[in-house]
Amino acid sequence: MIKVKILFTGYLKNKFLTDTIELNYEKPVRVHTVLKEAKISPADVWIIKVEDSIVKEDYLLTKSNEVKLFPVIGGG
Amino acid sequence: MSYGYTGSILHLDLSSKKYWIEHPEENFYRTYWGGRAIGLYYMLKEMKPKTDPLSPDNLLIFAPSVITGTPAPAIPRYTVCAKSPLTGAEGEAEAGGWWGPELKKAGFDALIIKGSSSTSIYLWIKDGKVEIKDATHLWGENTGTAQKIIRKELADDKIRIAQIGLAGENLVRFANIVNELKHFNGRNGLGAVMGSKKLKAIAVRGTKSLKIYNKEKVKEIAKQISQRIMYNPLSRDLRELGTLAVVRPFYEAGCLPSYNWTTGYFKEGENLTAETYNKTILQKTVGCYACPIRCKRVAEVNESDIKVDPLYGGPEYETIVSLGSICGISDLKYIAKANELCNKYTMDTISTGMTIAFAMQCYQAGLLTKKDTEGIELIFGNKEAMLKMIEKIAHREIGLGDLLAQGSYIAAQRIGKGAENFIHQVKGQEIPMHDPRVKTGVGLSYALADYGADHMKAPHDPFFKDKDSVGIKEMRGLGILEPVSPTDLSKKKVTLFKLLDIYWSLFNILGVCDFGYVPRSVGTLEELLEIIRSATGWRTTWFELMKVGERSINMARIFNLREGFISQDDTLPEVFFKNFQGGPLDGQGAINKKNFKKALKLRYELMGWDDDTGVPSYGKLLELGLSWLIDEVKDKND
Repeated sequence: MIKVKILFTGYLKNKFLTDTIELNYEKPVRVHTVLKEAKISPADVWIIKVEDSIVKEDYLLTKSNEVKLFPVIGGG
Repeated sequence: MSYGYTGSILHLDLSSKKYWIEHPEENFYRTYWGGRAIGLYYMLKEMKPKTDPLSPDNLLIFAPSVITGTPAPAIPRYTVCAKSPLTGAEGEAEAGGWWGPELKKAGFDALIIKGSSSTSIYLWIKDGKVEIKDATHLWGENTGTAQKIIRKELADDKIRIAQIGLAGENLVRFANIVNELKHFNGRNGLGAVMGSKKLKAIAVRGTKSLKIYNKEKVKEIAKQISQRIMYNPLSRDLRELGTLAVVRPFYEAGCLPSYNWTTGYFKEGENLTAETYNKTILQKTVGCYACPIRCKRVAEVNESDIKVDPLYGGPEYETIVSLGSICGISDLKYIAKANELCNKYTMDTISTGMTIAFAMQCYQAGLLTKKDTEGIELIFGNKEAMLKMIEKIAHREIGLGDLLAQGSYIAAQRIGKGAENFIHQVKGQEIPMHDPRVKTGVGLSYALADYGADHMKAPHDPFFKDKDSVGIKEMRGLGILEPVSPTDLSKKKVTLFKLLDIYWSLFNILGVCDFGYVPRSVGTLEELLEIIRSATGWRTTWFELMKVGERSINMARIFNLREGFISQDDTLPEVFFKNFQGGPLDGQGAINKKNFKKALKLRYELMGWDDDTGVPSYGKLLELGLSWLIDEVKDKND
């Protein structure tokens, strides 16, 4: 069993009205599949962090992990 | 009958203490609209090439727009223009607050100031009347004190005041101009131009309302946008976390500018996040004229060893980084103190932080010694040293303070011995705190900004990354149809950023805050167009409006060509052509220099400029109604 814990930051917390979502998978899964099943639009997500690495949406999660999502945000 | 604009432009000659009022025709307003476009019109018409920016011959122009002062949300901004003493190029800086709308109510669409007073003065403008008043008792005062004195002597606490502090008076090349103590025309050193004219402040007050073509319609749209802003997650984020919401993604991704750009990895980044700020130093949030977002922070610290006065606002994202991680400093209280000093002395926090970080790196490399610093251990992370350096620069203390008051570009030339390897600038202006290695469109904006590197030249790449991104879904009316990756530097990206540059040039002209409208917020293209139509009564279109933005870019280009700038000045600091060092992005990210140069050439072509020299073609100038500038490029096009 692979447990994927999605951690929201910034305005994603406001948008999804929660800090985390947990999903379970029987086999390795790509980040874009996790996002799709959690109903998270890639349009809202700029940076994806798994452990200490910055990954792309096609990154394959092979074990239980926290996937930290940082929202699209601009300058200021 | 004119709507939206007053029809009056005030010209002042501070040398002769004379002023006159110009009443341009409607077509003038419909061609230039406000802000930088009006500023550049007068700079190109009335200022001789190679004018010394700190001489009486430089113009100092304050310009809101034909829609400033309406009840529409997030349109409070106005522009100050002059030839920049920091870059020698076209200088401009926009500020929010209340001063721009108040100038309109006081009866003027713009102020065109030339000459220089022999003694310090301030201007008092009320309901169309102008007074030049003595300011010798204000010279040397902090902005907070000066504002208090002016309001008391004019016996009106609703007066709005734009002014300079000590740094402007002392001609620090990155001095800025502040209104209401918290809203800054931040970049390009325009406060030094004001100081060179011995002009301490401009106090404005208007008691008449503006003529608006269809006020009810503007109010109706304002209500709709404001309601959506209240519930939009991104707008709520701006209210709750402010601009420094971006600290966390940058710090955790390892692209938070740190230690004078030697790394994007800042171990103590958590200390600089919005969440830490809110828990430790935030006193309240404030906003601008007619804006429901209230994104601006006010900080207060009241401890035995350090106090921060909330009168001067609080650090925003750019300041948190430029006076924080860029100098290796992670103590928010000291960053807030540094911000307070910069604000009351009116120094641009980006250039201040970058110049001090440059000096820190020079010191650590042995290019500056303790003799130069008068005993200060000027190393990264020394927060006390940073505060001392701000004082030295603002007061232009003989030696290092005076040297750094010139900005990092000039300081590096004077220090020599390889110091130029430690500066990061475009056209002489220090780069802001967004790393183009993670958003290449920002890199194009830095390189092409007429007024030196600026992060407010175009929207940032992530808003266009996906088919469902706001920038793609909501900006189809401008022909923006397909998403592009933030790190892409293809033809698609170059084409997109040509449009975005024009779009935000228009924002700057009209005084529109990007936090109110797409792609950064909820106000739509259709709503903004209707606001403009309802304010002015002009049945304008996005075609016409985009031409207004494009016209101003070409005017700025010609101003800079006249001053000797060439296509090689459109470039990025070397650091961005190298990979990140340290942190999650270690060994990645370098922008390919060859591709970047190709992108710039393509951009020139798309603009109708020579793809080698970047000189606007005759045809482009004719198309934009700028035939009066053809002689300026004649030699360069032959």
